[in-house]
Amino acid sequence: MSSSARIGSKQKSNLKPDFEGNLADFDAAFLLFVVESDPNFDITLLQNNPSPSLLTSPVNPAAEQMYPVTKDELTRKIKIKGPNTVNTNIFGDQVVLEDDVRVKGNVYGIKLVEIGANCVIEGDVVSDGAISLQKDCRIEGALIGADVEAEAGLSVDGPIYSRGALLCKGNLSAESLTATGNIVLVGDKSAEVVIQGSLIMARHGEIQVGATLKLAGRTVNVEQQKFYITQSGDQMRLSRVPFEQTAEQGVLLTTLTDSELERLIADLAVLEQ
Amino acid sequence: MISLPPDNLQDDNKTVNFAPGMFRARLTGNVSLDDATEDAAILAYEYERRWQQWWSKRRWVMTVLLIIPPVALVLGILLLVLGSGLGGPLLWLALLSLMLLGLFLAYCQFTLPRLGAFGRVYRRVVAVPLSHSGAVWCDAAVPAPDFPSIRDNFFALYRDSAVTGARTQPNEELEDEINRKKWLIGDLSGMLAPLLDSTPDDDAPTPFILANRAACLDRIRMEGLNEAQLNTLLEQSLPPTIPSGQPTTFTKLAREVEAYSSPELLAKNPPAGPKFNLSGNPSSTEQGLENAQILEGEAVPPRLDFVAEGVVTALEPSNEKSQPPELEPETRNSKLETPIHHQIAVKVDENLGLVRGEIQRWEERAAKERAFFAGQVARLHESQQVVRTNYDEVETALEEEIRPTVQRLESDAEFYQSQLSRFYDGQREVIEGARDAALGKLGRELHELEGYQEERLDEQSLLQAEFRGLNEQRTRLETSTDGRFESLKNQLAQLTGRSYTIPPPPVFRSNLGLDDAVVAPTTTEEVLQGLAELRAEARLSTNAVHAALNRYARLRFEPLDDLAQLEQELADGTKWQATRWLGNIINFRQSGQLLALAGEVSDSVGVYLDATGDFERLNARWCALETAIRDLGLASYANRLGEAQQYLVNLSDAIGSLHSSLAMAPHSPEMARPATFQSLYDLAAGLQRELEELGGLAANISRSEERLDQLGGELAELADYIARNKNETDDVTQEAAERLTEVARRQQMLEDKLTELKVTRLNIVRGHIDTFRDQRTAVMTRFDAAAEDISSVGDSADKILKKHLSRSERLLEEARKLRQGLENTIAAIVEEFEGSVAVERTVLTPSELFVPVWYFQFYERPVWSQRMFGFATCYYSLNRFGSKTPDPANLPSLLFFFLANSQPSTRYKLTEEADLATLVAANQLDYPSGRLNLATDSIERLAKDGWLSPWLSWLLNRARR
Repeated sequence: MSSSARIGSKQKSNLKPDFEGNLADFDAAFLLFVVESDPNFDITLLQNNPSPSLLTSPVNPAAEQMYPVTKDELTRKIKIKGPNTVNTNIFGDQVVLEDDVRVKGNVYGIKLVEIGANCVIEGDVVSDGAISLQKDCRIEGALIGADVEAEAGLSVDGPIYSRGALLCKGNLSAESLTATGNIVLVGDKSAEVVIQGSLIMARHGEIQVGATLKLAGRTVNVEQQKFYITQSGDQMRLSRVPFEQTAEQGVLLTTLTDSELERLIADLAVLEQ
Repeated sequence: MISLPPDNLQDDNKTVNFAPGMFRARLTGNVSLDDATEDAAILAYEYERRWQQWWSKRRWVMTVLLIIPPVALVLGILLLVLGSGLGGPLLWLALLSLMLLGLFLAYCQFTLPRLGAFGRVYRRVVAVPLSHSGAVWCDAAVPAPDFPSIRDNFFALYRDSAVTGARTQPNEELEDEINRKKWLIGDLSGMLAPLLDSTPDDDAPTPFILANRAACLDRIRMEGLNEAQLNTLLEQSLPPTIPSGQPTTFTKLAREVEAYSSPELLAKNPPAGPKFNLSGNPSSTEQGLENAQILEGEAVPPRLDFVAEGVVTALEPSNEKSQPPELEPETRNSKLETPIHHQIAVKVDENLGLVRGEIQRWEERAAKERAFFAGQVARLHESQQVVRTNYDEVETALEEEIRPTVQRLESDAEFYQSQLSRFYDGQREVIEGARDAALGKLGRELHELEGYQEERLDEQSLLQAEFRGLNEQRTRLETSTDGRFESLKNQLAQLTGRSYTIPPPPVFRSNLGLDDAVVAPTTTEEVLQGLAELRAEARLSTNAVHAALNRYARLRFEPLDDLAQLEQELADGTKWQATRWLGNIINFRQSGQLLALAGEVSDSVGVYLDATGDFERLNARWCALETAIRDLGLASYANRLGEAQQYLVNLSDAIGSLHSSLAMAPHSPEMARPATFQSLYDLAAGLQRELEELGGLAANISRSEERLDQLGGELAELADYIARNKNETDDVTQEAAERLTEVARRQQMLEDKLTELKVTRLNIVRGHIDTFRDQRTAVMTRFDAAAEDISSVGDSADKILKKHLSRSERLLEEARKLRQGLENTIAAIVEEFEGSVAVERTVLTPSELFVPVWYFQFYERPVWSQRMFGFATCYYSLNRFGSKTPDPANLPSLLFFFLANSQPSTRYKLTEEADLATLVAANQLDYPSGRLNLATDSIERLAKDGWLSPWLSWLLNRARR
């Protein structure tokens, strides 16, 4: 008996893809196994499935839908040309917005987000990969990515968090600024980075500031207010110079203290002992 | 306290230049001595006490040793004169006692208490006059506390806290927050740093002596000192290291304390005056009070001004701007009413309150920072939520895409599943049908076989019961026949064997005694008649015996022999062998002859017994006759008597023959009864019948055994059939089960494969969705990590602020503690001071009192295992009594005094002052050892003036060596 034959099998009339011809392979593999394992089996019993086909036609998608609904669309890059206004969330493997695009929702690119100049995002910009922003963009939510690179004039109403490094080349304003890797704020003296929080921190990296930096409304004196930090358990140590014996150290810039005050307090602790 | 001018001070006031404020304590009493004599008196007094104590323990030994020699000597001499032998030993005893006395005196010589050290030293006590009239006693040996330093610390605290907290107030909001922190922490630490190391010790000793302890000073007399005396006393005073400026220090200290307490209150309530005045000089008290006022006005500056000026001076160089408002001129007057230390405390408290307010603001700032970073974390979580929703939407769409394919796959799998079940269910039914048919046939066969088996088993049980009954019967018959056989043998044996005894034959005797029945004849006629009757009776008896012998000789014993032969046969064989003889017994024809024989024998026995009795009687009669003949002298009858004897002897012989005949023939008296033979016949007949019955029973038993064997064989055969049937049933069941298992295994295998293929296909179809879900999980994990990062930033900020807060809190706490500690110290000193101020204050200037202390050191047993003890004490009075000089000048009176007198050898009495000794700590003095500070002739002078007995003087001089 031929195991691969599918006598009288139903004809597939659906429009959906039969994922890699799976159904035919499944039938053939099972018949072959039956013939091999039990020669006495009456194979004709398996040849006519009297149940009706349940295949249904696909549901028509909504008019504007910026997220993948099929397997093919999963890896497709979403690219929106400007000027344009998108009234919905954007969710894609890679999202590329060209100049002058306004998005009235959140932007999420799994591997990449690229935003052109003068874009306005009325929500969060989030990516599990890199995010790059051109000049004069405005984000009304949070900016969260693995590596963030921004041109001048970026304004973020929420926090900025980078799982890797963060590079800003000019003016920047945000609620808070945190990165796991290095934070690099470049620009000339006229460039101004304004952060509402009183402390920015590179957890395992370094902070380099070229522009004028204001934290909680006060200009930061990097010489006085930049500290290396290391934590063990509940203990925290601050130092003006890098720690030698511990690899696990970060850098913070803060307006909550400065090196003179820390020295005074350290002296006092020694005195008390 | 009394300050009496000494007697000599009053007398020599004009000529001697007294050092001001320097006094020494003198002994009171009714006499006044110079120091050297006083020392000697004290030494003699103490030594006598010591010596009396020593001597009281040894006095009786000396007394006994002194009494024995004279008594023994006198008695010994008397007895010698009288010529008694006891005189010699008594003299020896006297000599021995004298030797012992000598030894004891030597012992006393060596062990008498001796002087190790003696002398007087002075302890200094200082009276400090107070600014507000009165004085307080101080111990010059205890160093004064550094009260000015404490006060300076307090002022320093005030000065340093003047700016603390003021620079960080809200009106200086323009200043940077970090700068404010720096100022505050710097100010606090600057304020505390110099004071942290010099925190006063709370339990430092104070030199002030409490009033109740100093009361004993009232009892001593004070004597003014000139320069030379003072120098001498200074050399003798202890401890020698007291700085000479100590009184001045005490004075200053008292003033400070007075100024620091509430002098205004004291001024408003001056002391009510002396309650009592031991000096009896009221003018001195009034004068003292006036002088005190003068002193107060001169020596003590206005205290508030003094303090305030000090503070202002201290503050001026630091910062004029930070001058505290409390010290402004217009407010100073309002504070004049309150004590200065209270003002300072209030000011310091206010400044520390400002610091507290600033720290409060830092805390608010820290709370704001915490809230800000918590908001950032919340913002991140919101973004995470949005991303999660997006992922959900995409996942739903992808699931929708693959839904038809999955449905088709599941439908196919379900169809295959149902078909598999159908096919294998059919197979299972066929196998089960065949198995059930075979099992039915086998079951029927088994039923039949079991029926047969049951029948055979019933029969077998019946036969077994019967067999048991037969066996029982046979056993019973065996027992019965054995019993009968035995009894038959016994009866036969009894019948044929002799079973009775006959008395032995009588013998003639000539000496038988006469019994009552026999009457001896008394006359010749009677003898003659007796002889005749004896002969006749003997002849008759002899005839009867002979007749019996003749009949016995004619008897025939053959039947008895036959019977004996039968008995012999039976006794030799078994019961089965006896069957052939039983007929002979039953048909024994000679029973009549046996009966006749038995009758004859019985008759002969009867004759024998009668003849025996007759013989005995005749023999007795013969003896009676023989006696009568001899008595009557009838010699002529002797022949006749011999004849009669011959008859009797003949009779005896005949009886003997009959006895021997009877004894030879075996027979039983039972043979004489017909019933005996009848029972013998019955026994034999019964035995024969039962033996026959037993023979028939044996045949029955053997038949039953044969049948039982046969049944056993049949049953074994049937059991074999049944076992084979059951084995076959098991085989059929096993085979069917195996086939069913095989079918189930195949079905299971196919179903498993079907499931596996289905799962594999589903995984392939859903692969991209699973990957997408994994990606989402990873992204969410990274979001959580990001939230943790941001919250750790918040934590860092929080820790920085907390560190600042905790440090400043601790500083503030220390500042408060310091202020509290200073206040407590000052309060304690003031309180102690006030407690030690006496109500009567009559000392006008600072004065020092030298209190004499005498120390003693005695040795006992100075030669071996030396014991030494020492002490020091104070006295306050010396009183002389009596005027007669004790006079044990010559040896007898000395001896009498030595032995009998326990009166003191001194004519004066010293009174010790224990309170004073305690106050000046006399017993803790480190007095010199081995030095006797005593003028050389002072003791002799005392003795000469009649203060003490020459005996004591001699002892003392000896003890000094």
